[in-house]
Amino acid sequence: MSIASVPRANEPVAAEFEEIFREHSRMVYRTAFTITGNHPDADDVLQNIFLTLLEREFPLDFRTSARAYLYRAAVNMSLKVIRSRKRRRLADGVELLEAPPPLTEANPDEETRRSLREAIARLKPRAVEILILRYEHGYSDAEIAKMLGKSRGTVAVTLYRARAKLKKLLRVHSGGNDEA
Amino acid sequence: MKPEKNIDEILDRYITSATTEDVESHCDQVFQQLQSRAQDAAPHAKPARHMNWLRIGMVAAAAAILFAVLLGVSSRAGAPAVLESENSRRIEYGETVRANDATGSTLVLADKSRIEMRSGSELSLERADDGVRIRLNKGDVIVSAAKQHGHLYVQTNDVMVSVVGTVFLVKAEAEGSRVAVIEGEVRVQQQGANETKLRPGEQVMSKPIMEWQPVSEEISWSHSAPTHLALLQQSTTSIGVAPQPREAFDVVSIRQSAVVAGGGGRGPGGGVRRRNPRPAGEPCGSPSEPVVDPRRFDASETTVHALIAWAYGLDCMNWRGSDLLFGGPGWLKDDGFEVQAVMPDGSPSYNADQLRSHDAPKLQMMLKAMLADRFKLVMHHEMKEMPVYELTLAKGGPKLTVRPEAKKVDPPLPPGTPRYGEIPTVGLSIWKEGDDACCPGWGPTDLGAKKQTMADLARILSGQIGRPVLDRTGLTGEYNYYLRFAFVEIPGTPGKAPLPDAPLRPWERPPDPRTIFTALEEEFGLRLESTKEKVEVWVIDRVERPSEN
Repeated sequence: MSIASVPRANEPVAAEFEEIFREHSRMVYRTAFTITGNHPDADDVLQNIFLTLLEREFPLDFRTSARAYLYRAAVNMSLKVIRSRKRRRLADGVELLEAPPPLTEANPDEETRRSLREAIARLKPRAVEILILRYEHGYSDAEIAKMLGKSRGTVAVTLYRARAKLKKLLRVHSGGNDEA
Repeated sequence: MKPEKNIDEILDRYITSATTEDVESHCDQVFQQLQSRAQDAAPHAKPARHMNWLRIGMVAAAAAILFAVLLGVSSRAGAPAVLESENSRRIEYGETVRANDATGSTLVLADKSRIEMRSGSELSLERADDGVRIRLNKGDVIVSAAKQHGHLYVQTNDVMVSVVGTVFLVKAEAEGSRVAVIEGEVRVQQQGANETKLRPGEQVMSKPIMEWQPVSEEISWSHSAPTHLALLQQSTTSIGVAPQPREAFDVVSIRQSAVVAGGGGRGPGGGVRRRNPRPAGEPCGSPSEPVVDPRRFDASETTVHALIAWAYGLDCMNWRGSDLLFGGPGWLKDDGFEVQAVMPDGSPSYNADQLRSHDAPKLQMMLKAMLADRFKLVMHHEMKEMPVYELTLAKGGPKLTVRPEAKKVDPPLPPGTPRYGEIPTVGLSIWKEGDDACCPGWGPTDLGAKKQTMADLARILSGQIGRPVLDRTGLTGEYNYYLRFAFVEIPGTPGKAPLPDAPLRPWERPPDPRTIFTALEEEFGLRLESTKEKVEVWVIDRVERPSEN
C-alpha cells in the first residue's frame, strides 16, 4: 500500500477529517450495524475506523476513494468483531458477560435476522461487501462495480454465489444444524 | 423461515438495518466519546468494551491531532440542515448542494422547514441576521417553511423572498426568477422595485419577458404535487383569489374527423380529400401536421395524444407516440379530430417546426388551455422507473470527421444510376457555419440529419429502437451525421425486413449488415447501454371527449 502525506494537527487536516467524518460516518455505521446487529459494536467499529485514520497516515487508496476505503474497513472490522466475539465465547466464559444480550427466541423475526447475520458473517469479506451494498444500501450492480472498482460481471457473479451460499447456510440453520 | 423459497425476499426483509434516528444519535455519540477521550489524553485512555480502539501506542501527537480536529468538528456540530435523500447527511453553511439525482433532493432545516429541490437545482445556505437564507443558484425549489421564530429567506440573482410559515415555489431560470405561492403569504423584493406581497395562486416574475404559467403546472414535478395542489385549491378558494390571466386561443373549433385513419381517403361524406392522411394506428399523424402560421393553428386528423405531446413538449415518436405519456382511454391515440384555432392579435409568430421541437411557448400554453377547457384534461407529473438506453461515449471517444465526405465513401451506386438528390455519406462531423441545417430523417435502415445536438440524436434513436434514449455523451455543440445499419423492426410499425435477395430500387444501396448498436459504435464512437432509470413522465388523470363548438 502506498503512503501519502502524513496528517498534521493543523486546520487543513482538521477540516479534511471533519469533512470525511461528516460524509461517511453514517454509511460506516449502517454497515457495521447490519453486520454486528447491535449498537455498541457498531459504535466501536465507527470509533476504531476514524481513530485509525487519525493515528496512521492516510493511505493513498483512501485518498483516491475514501468511500470505498471506509466501506471496506467497516465490513472487515465488523466481521473481525463478530468473529472475535465468537472466539471469546468459546475461550473465555467471562467475556460472555460483555456480549450483547441473547435475542429472545420468542420473536421469530429477530431469530431470522440473527440467523441471517450469522450466515452473512460466514461469507468471504468481498462477498459481504457486495451483498450489503446491494441489500442494505440499495446500490445497483453498476453502482457497486463503480464503487469497488470491479466489473459488473464480477459483481453479479459474486452476488449470485453469495445468495446461493446464504440459502444453503440458512437451510442448514432451519434444519437444526446451525454451524454458525 | 423458508430459505429455499426466496433468498432475495429474506435479504430484503430481514437484513438488519439501523433506523435513521439511531444512526444519527449514535454517530453523534461517537463524536462526543471521541471528544472526551481526546480531552482526557492518551495516557489515561480507558480500553473500550470489546476492542482496544484507543491503541496503547497512541502517542500524544495523535491525541493532539484528535483534539484539534474534534474542537473544529464540535464547533460546527449544529449543522443548519440535513439532506434527507442522502441518509440525512449534514449540510453546513456555505456548502453547495446539488440535486443530481433524477428524483431530486430534499433538505430539512433545523426548524423542520423542508426544501424540495428539483433535479438539477443548486443552492447553498447562509446565515441571515434573523434566520437562514437559501441562496438558489439555479433550478426549482418548493419551500415548506415552518412557523419559526426567525425568518427564512430565499435569494436568487434578482429577487429576495422572505417568509414565515408558508409553502411556495422559487424558480431561478436563465432569464430571471419566478416566485409562486401555494399556501400563506410571502414578500418578494426585487432589485430596484417595491416589495410585493403574494398570496396563494399568485406569482411574480422578475423579467417582463417571462411568461405566466399556472402554479399547478409549475409544481407538478414535486413528489408532493397532489398535496400541494390540494393545498393550493383550498387556499385559493378560501381567500377568493381570482385566477391570473392565461394564454388562450381567441376561437377554437374541434370536430371529430369524418374519415377513419388508414382508410382509403373517402369518408362517410364521400369524396373527401384528406390533407395529410394519418396512417392507421399511428397516434402522431403526418409529419406535415399541424399547419401553423402567425395567427392560425390548424391540425387535421390529429389525435388528442399528439395534441398533448405538442402542448407539453413531449416527443411524439413516429408510429407509436410519446414514451413519456401514460394513462387515458384508447381513443386518445386512435380517434382523429379536426382542430382549428385562432391566436389572439399580437401573438408571437411560430411555425410547425418550432411547435414540434417544443419551442413555441405561447402556442403551447394556448394548446394546454384548450385541452383543459374542451377535453377537461387533467394530468400530473411523476417519476417512473423504466427501461431506457443511455447514449454514451465509446472507448476512445467520438469518431469525428472534419466532414463526413472526407472519411468514408459508401458503396458506389451501380453505373448509370440516376442520382436522386444528395447521397449522404456515413459519418459524424461537427456542424460549422456555412453547412446546411437540414431535415432530420430516419428509416428502418438509416438515419441522418444536419445541425443537430446529441439530444436530438438521442430522440431520433429513441424512435428507432422503441425506448427513451438519454443523452449522456456530455458532447455539446451541433453535428451533421448519417448512419446506415441492418434493418430495424421499429416498434409499433408493420414493417418487415426486406428479403435478402430482393432487387434494389435504383436509388437504393445494399443494406449495411451491422446492427444499429454496432454501427453507432464503429462509425460514431457512441454506445447505447441498456439500463433502468427513473424518468419524469406525465400521467393522464382525466380526459373527456371534446365539448360542442
